[in-house]
Amino acid sequence: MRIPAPIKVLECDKHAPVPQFSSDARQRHLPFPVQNSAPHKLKRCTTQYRIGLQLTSLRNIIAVLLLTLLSSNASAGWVTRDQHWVSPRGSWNWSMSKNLPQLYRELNGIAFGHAHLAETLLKTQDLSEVEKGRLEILDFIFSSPSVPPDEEQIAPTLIRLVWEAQKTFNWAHTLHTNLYDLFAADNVQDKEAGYREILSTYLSKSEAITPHPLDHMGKLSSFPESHAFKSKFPKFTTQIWAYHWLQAGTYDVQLAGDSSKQRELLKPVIAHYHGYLRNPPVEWQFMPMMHEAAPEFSKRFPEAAAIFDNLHMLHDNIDDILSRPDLYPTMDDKRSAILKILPIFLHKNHSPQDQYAAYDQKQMMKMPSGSRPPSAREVFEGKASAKIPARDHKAHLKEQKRKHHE
Amino acid sequence: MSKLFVLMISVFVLIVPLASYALDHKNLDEGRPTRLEDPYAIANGELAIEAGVGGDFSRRQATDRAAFPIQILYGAFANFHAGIGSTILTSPRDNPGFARSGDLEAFALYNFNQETLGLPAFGLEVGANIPTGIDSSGVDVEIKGLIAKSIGRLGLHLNASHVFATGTKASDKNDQHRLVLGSTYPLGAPRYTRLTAIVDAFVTGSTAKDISATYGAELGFRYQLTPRTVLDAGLGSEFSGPAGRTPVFVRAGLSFGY
Repeated sequence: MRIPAPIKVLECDKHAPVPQFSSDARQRHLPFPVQNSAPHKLKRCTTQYRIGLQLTSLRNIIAVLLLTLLSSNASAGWVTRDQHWVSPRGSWNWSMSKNLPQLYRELNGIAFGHAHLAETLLKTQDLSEVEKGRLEILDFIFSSPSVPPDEEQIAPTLIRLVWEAQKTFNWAHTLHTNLYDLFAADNVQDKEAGYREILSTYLSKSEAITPHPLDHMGKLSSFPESHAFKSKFPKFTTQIWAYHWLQAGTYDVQLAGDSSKQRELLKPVIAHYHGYLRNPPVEWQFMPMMHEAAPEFSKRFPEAAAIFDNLHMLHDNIDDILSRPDLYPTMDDKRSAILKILPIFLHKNHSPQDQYAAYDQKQMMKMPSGSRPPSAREVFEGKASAKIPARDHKAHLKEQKRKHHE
Repeated sequence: MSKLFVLMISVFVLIVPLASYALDHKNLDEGRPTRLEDPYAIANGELAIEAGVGGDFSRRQATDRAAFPIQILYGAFANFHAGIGSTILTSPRDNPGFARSGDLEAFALYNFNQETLGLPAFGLEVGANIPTGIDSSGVDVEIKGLIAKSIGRLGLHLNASHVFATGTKASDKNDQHRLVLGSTYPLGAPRYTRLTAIVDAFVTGSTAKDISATYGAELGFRYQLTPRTVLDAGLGSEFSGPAGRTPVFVRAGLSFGY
């Protein structure tokens, strides 16, 4: 059986993002290529079953499919799903959940945090409602979920609005998981080789974020909507930055020893992270960078560090867009704005001559003055004090909710 | 019925320990636990095994029987999976329809697109039933169109298929249509996304001449047991149709991947 080739009518075009999604272009590209090409391919498919088969019913099935397709509103775009399983396969797979179960649970909570935030911002900008969403996330994180949440059910609107962005996040989060697994695997001695294999597999997909350092504090912070999320929802923003601090800092913990040592060192680091959740570090003026939270990892594995900094910046850029309904009032507007910035992150070969040269990091980034996050090493060596002393999570949340209601 | 029930439970208990080595996959696949399918392929590179037990009860023209289906799926390319499977039945000689106990099923599903705010997701599945089973003859080919569209978290699904059969008796038709309309909902979402409820209604054309179609309904759930395993269970009824229909049937199983 020959299966029809993927019909990729509209995907995020890295080279011409803005015109690609203008309304005229959309009308030109969607869904008519499907109308033109799909029947031909499906008919070709049926010829292989000609002997003894009745084609009338098959045509009816195809007709139902196409009529439904053509009667649909095409404005949200045609995008292929392209889900990838854990890849590459290696003896390190699943080591994190086995050897670092507490970290695994924290990351499950973070997955909920990103998705629930986006869905909340798509529904409301009301300060009280958004704060309620933030507390719901804390409640979920502190429940220490043993199973990764289904982000498609947490944020159904965002997922269907910009699947292109979601699959970029999914693939980058798979990279995170793969690397945590690699460094948590005591049976893998040659971590460098594993890293190279994981990185190469990651970069081979079109939804991979560039390993090229981008200009986060300059050009990527100069969009009309930039800083909107931080200005409107400082606690929520820095709560997200706390997730990113843990995700980054974990790598330096992992480089400090085998999985047993990692479990031991993760305890103060996770406690410090919980301190940030209970009392978000609103004094931070910019997201934590990989070289701050995990300087050793950033030095040894600069490509992955750049990818994760870019990933975290993409999260911030999208949250800024979702925080400016005055600039982007409709779903189409939000989608267009997100698909305008996404290609910058997906463009792999940034060079001085290309169209995204302006977004390249030109020189060593100068971090903003004021309070900055500590490195994980400073935390597990006891050189950085916790934000607030550890205490009962439930009692703290109850107090936060009471304050929220007041 | 009680012996059959004990047999089903025993097999299910034997299957469960495998779960600790398995991986999760969330797709709706036929028989897990209802006949409703979604148009999405499993992830590229995923290898999944789906196994279960079922029981058909209160059949008027035959005894109760148990079913033991197993399938292996592989995400061979992006948006495409292929698989093989088989179902073993007790009382294998009184099976209505084209498929027989022990037949080898081979199938492939291609997903055309991700659902968006405006567009449903579309999929096309082709399956072949190879007559390796008891009293089986002729290759049967099924072509199925799959559509999914959601309203918020409520998923709406339509499956329409046609089976083209060979090796049928003179008194039988050589084709059959099947239509399933169903819905899914994650109970407890957004905070809790481990449990999905499924309900569907179906109509299945008769495989014998001059006999009416069968109408029925099913409900079930899929529960994410571990990060790598999905447990499912469901029950249904063919409430209208020929005398040989199954008034009550139950299904339970596990899906896991590597």
